Amino acid sequence: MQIPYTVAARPDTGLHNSKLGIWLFLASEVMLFGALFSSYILLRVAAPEWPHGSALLNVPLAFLNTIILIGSSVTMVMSWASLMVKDFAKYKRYMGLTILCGFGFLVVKGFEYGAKFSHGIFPSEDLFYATYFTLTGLHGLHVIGGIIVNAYFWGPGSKMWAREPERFTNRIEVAGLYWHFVDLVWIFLFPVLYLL
Amino acid sequence: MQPVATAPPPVESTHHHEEHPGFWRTYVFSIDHKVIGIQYLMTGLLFLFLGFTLMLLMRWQLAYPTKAIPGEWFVVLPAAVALISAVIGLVNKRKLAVLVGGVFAGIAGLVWYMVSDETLFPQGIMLPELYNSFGAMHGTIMVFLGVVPLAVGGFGNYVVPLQVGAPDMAFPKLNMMSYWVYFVGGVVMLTSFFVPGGAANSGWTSYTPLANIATMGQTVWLTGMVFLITSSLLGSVNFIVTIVQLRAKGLSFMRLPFFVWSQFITAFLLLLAFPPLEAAAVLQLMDRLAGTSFFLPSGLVISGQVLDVSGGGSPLLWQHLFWFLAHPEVYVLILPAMGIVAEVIANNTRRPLWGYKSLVYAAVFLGFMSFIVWAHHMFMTGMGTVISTFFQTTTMIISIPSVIILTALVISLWGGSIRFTVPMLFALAFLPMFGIGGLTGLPLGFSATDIHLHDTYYVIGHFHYVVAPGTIFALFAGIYYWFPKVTGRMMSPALGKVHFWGSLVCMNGIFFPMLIQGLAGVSRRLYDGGAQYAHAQGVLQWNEFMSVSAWLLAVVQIPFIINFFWSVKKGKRVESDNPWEATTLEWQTPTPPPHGNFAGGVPEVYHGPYEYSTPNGSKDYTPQNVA
Amino acid sequence: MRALAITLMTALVGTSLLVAGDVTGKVTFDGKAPQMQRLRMDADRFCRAAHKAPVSSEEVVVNKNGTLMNVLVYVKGVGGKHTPPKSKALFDQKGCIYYPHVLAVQAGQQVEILNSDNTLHNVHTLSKKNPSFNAGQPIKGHKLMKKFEKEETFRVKCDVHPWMGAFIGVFDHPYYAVTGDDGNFTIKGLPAGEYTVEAWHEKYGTKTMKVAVPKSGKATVEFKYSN
Repeated sequence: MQIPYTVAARPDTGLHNSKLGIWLFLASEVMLFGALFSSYILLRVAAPEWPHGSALLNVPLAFLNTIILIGSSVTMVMSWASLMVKDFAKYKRYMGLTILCGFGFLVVKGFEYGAKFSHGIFPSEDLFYATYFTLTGLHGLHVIGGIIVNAYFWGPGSKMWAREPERFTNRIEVAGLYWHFVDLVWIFLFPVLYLL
Repeated sequence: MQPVATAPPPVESTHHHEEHPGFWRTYVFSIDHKVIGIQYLMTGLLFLFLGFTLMLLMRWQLAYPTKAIPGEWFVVLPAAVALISAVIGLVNKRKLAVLVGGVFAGIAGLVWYMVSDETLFPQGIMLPELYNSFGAMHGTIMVFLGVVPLAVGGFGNYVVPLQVGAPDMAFPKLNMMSYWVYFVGGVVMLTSFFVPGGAANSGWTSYTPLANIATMGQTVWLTGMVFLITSSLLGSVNFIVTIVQLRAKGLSFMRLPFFVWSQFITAFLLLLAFPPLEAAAVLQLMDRLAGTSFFLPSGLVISGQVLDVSGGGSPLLWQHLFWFLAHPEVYVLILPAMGIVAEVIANNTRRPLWGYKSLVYAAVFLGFMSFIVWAHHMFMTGMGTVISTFFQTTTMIISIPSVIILTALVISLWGGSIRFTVPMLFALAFLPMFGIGGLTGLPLGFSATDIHLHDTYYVIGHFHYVVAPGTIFALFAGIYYWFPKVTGRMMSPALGKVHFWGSLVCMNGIFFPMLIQGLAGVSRRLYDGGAQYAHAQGVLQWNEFMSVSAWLLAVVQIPFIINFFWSVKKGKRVESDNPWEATTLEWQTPTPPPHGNFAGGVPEVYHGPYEYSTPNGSKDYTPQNVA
Repeated sequence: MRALAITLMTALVGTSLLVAGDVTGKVTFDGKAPQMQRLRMDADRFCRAAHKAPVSSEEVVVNKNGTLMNVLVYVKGVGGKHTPPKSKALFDQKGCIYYPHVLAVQAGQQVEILNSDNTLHNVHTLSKKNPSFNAGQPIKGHKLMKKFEKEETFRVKCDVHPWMGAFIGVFDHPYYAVTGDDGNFTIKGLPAGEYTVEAWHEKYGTKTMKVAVPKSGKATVEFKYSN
């Protein structure tokens, strides 16, 4: 029993199943982070005073993280493009880089959090830090999820390339879409939390 | 009650080649949408029964606040059901019935354990704290663990792939995961009864700041909700992709059965409305566990002491985030029901549905509008007239598509050759009952009248009319209607009619007096049912009447349970694969449908979904896949 | 050997009792007793029906002999470990009033919170050092057994009936008393020595006196409150 359009695109929609699936999932993620951003706006507008992120947070480190994530989005696309031109070795290299960038992001985040914790600053400190930790924490969880999926596709999952190359390429495209979304959320988070 | 009478045919898929998946892969961790649909159905029905039992206990307290609860009677009912299903299961050699019997025995045991606990029922009288827990859990279990899994996970999963002519859902493994994540969420919710302080007790709405400072059960509730929301999100992706991508050749969108449209829109509601609640749950968990104050204002005084938190939060923020989901959620509750009723009406009037296009556009418009009415649950929070006028207006507008759908269904009866089968009885009763539910919503939607009615029993009467003799009747209709496709046997019409009439009378007996009490000003969530209030004295006598109606409603479900389990093996065998002579694709399959659904390959569709009363030889209908 | 130890212990304890004194006294109130607010129990038919005569607040109760009732008197700075008494302290709700208005118990002593009324009460302790709780008592005869482990004086209120209020004083030692309708108090069994004795009243606050307790016999202390 075969599920149709798992690999080939359905003619009238032009999509294969998992591509539509991931876009729908990303729509729900937009609602999730949208709700969090809306809550942040509501709380900040209502607050009598609100600190500037640049005064309390490490902007250069976060800027570095932004570069890392944007870079990882580039390498993610490159890994997919490598598969499109049937270069598996290049795919492995670029996907490996993407995963490394992901880890790099987490390490930098770890430094940031660690610095705060060692100064006794926790989410309970005030609303600014509560929002900062919650938003970046949830984003960080999404990064971890993405790393796990990408690592699977770099490692055991990559065996599918030998048997069903087109299906595997689709999977990487879909994973790439998710990864771009995670990057996009950070591109919103960075200015909102650190610069405004 | 398994969907396949014999061992399933070998699974031919592109990933593995398993000749005969074992018991666990076939019946427990199956990726076949039909098995998963049955799993959702059985689990949902069990949770529905548990939520119902909690209310039966609460209604004793409301009717007889000073009399000790006769615990034995409340144990007898689930115990009787346990016995019935176990015995039938053993006699008919159906493992699932025995398993269900075991679960009912567990429910009986839980009730006995609680009722015998002197700290929960001192001298047989329910403690107020326990009443609050029961109230919160009744709502949570019924909405999130009962009705939605039944309507969407159960009926949606089983029927939608069949009705679109697909071999399965688009993502079968994700489907299985959705079910098991729901199951885990349900178990987590159940464990909350056993933690210190008992289950969540801040209402199913978990308003802050009360929920922030509530007992541990609230944290368990939030955790359970995260699982349930995840399950719904994964499921909704599956439904949308299935309906968009896996429609058979010739099945355009405007040829889809209305049931599929209703599930399609419902899936969008779940997909887009649930994430804000997930965000809110994360924020409340942070408040409870990490000491943040997203929902705690500065200077909040509790028990004469100022709370030692950073403050600055907004209790209203929780309400906005919660109701942003919970309003679309009520359309999640009603849309699949409307879909089922539409199928049953078309089939039992032997006519096409009247106004198919209106139905579809109205349902789509309803789905869209459902996102911009949420603050009509918050009229009493001190919002200004501009905002309340906005939400009042959108609420009035959203009643239009509801009325269009109801009107189209009613007009569909006109000129029909009506067969009063048991599914049709439930579908017919749905119409006036949903009408009452909808009409009673109007004074709630107007902010002026809502001042008087907000948080009274009128609200409880309103929404129960929509969900109980509304949605649940539609679900019953669906069970009686699709039972022969799943099992190859009919349920007994005699028992079905007893179930129907008893349920109809009793449900009205429970919920109509609530409208009266609410208009008199009796608040909801009152442990003593209004006894302490002078303004309630004139309507207190309805409490006993409502409680007796509720207990009778419980008794009248027994013929249904007997019917359900008995008919699986001993019901009257169907003579054809299409005993109701229906046009939609799920009836053009073998009974029960095999793995892959359409034995001879995926069908091609040539017509719309309701080609009834069309000349077709000796038949009065033309199935969709017949040229 | 064991018998010898027991005999020695008994002798020691016995002698210590013999070398223990009492602190007695009274708490006087100077001036006119302030007018107490009448309690309006209209919200609950049962409570209203339970009283024929009007009920006043117990915030300040001046006895006929010019003494002050409901004053908590206790010894400060008593060290050592003191096992709590086995007897239960009763905290009752009758006619929608707490009895006693001021209850003194020892840390670890069992307190029986009783609802003698045919109506719902919700006992809510506003303690800081002891875990506070609020519990419903729906029926007449409902008993709640509680223990308080930390020394603290805190208010107790009913979440159903806003006029109800009382105080519970928890002490690490047994040297405390509450003045009754004669304004007198007796604290027995204090080992000889110099002590600070404190009196606490819910409206008029604390007053401190020093007292020397003899080896046996009484030491008298008088606290004077005024309007």
